[in-house]
Amino acid sequence: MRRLIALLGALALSLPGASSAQTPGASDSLMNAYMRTLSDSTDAWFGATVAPLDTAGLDSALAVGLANPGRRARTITVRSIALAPAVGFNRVDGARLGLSAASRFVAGTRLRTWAQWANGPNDVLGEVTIARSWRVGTTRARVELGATAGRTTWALHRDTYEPWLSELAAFVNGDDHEHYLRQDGWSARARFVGPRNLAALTWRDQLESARTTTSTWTLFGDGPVVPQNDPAATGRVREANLTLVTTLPGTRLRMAYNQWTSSPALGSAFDYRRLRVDMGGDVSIGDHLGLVSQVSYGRLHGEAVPQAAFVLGGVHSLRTLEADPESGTGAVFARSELVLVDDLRRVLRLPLPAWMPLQFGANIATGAIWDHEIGRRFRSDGRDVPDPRDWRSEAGVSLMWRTGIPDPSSRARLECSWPIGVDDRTVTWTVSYQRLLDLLPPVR
Amino acid sequence: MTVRPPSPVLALIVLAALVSTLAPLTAPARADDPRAVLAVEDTMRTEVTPELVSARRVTLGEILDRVARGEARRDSLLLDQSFTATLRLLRNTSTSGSPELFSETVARVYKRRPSQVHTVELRRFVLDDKDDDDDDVAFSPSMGEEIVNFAIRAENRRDYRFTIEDRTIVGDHIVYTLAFEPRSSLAVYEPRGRIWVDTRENVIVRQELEFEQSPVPLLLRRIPHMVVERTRVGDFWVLSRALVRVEFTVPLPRVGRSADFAMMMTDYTINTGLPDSVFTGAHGNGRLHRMRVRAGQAR
Repeated sequence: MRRLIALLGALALSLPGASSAQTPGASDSLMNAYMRTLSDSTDAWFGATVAPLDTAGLDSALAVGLANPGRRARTITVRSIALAPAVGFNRVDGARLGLSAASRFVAGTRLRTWAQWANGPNDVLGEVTIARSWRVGTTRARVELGATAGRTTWALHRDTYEPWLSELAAFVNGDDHEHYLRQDGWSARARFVGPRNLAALTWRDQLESARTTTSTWTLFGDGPVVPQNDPAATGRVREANLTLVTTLPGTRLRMAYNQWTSSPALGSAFDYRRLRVDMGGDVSIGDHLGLVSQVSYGRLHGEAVPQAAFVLGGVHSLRTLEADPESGTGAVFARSELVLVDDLRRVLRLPLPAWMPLQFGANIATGAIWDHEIGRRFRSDGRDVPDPRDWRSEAGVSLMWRTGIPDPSSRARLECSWPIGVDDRTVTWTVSYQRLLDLLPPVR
Repeated sequence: MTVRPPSPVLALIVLAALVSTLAPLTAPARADDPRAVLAVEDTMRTEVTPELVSARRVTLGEILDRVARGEARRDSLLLDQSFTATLRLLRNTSTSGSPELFSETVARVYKRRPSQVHTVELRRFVLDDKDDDDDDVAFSPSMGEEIVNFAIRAENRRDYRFTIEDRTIVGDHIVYTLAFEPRSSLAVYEPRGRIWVDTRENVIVRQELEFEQSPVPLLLRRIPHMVVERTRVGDFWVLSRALVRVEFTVPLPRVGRSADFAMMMTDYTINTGLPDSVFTGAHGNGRLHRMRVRAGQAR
């Protein structure tokens, strides 16, 4: 009947002279009928999901709710407390066993704490973190404030450290290429997180000290792949860090700028300025190929302490240098990867489950690092560009399984890389887990 | 109550229908009657002078610009609104067996500029409620309905490629159907789909989404269908339904392999001047509280 009315209405409107007599109400009813037709198809698709709401009792519930507006806010202060085991493993701490607790407050404040006993040095580690965030107006942007205090073990090379993956590799077969230091103290941060941009200011006041290997145990294998632990310079660090991440206007290229400043004027034992700039993005080549390119530049001026150095080698830079990464006060790296977008399961008719979409990629990478004498704590005020002899290059192919956790572009990669040029590097197989643009921090 | 006289055109149509219905009742003409008419030409003919249309056709870019402005205008004109929100989860929706309501939360939501929101929970139902999980669903104070217009927003538009798929004339409305897909071929996990745009007010009235691949293959096998609908309330198009069906890679405890999520908004009031008392807590200090709806536990 509704469609008949709509048809009659449309016929009437199509006749000469009729449109001038048309009223807004008639036109809107036609629009409503059109929308209703589309909704009917939705109803048919979703069936019982879109059944009409039973409204019995809702009016009285609303009256009670409006009469007691602050009831819940007054009675609840802590929303939940979640307890979980906290375990970890690396060659300087050995096994770490402990507990973590996290609680969420009504006003968006989160409190998280953890404590672990490390069997290697027979020491207790732990941290307390409190953080609160606010939405900016009605936008999706948020402002976050947080502070952390305690004692922890962290990586010497801060740019690419992924604790979970490194500790898993150390536990399973000792394939952990990180070096570690101890941090005692506190830090505070303020962050603005927008849909496309991120700005963060962090201050930390921590005593940093060197650690030594205390455990050579692994589940499988003959011990740690890297048995020694490079020593950090010991001293109290007071450091300010500014981070800016944005999308370049008019493009889909993203850029991250990081500046760390530590100075005796701030009460710090070290005097350095550390800069790192990353840029990356992707372009489509037809419907089946995508080209992902990333560039990174880092420079350390001032006192060249090991914990402020840059490193070249590993799954986030040159994979052929993974076994023997090099550190220095200046580093530059670029990689382009051509990815076959199509799911290999469909292309090759592989009998694999739906949760295992596979992609194929081929990449070429080049990088350089200079001022290698990090351990000597010299002052680095020299050249800001590498010498032509410092460059190393490689090419590789990879098989990628996109899992979507924690980021939709996160993937496990099995990669084979070949060195380009004459040196002592060899063909290297690596297994890694990373996002597609792994050099850039995620904003959302 | 005012009764409007029927349109003359409609009256003519009804009259013609009546005449054609009554025609067999009249005496049939005899074949040997010289006045008999055996066939009547019933095709209407008319001729119009061809006219060359020189007006420039509206481009896709202009349509998108107008829609972005129309959405911004719509948002700016909304001062306050209230609606009844129903959050519903049905399990077993695309596998064998019949769908079953797993949870339903009904709430009355009040929003007012600049950033006030107050939610009164009216009903909560969870099937086989056993645990004490305390997951909340918070309503944003925004009235911009980003779930409808995310693709044409300035910050996202360069990430999508748009095409005009269809154009329909409905009364004096022109409804464009625009298809969009991620500009990056690598973004196989990002939504693609089509939006229906009413160009009289330049607002999106409906959106259908699909995903070439699941955003989280390890957890979600696929997302077969997602629909976002708006309905007209007074002078505004407002979100009425957001529906999505998902299939899980591994069966979720108590939910199973598939589920439908539905968010339905009804009983809107818009720009009615909501009183301060709606947003003021019981503490008596005039502080504005942001209340949340708990979705996942019966009380």
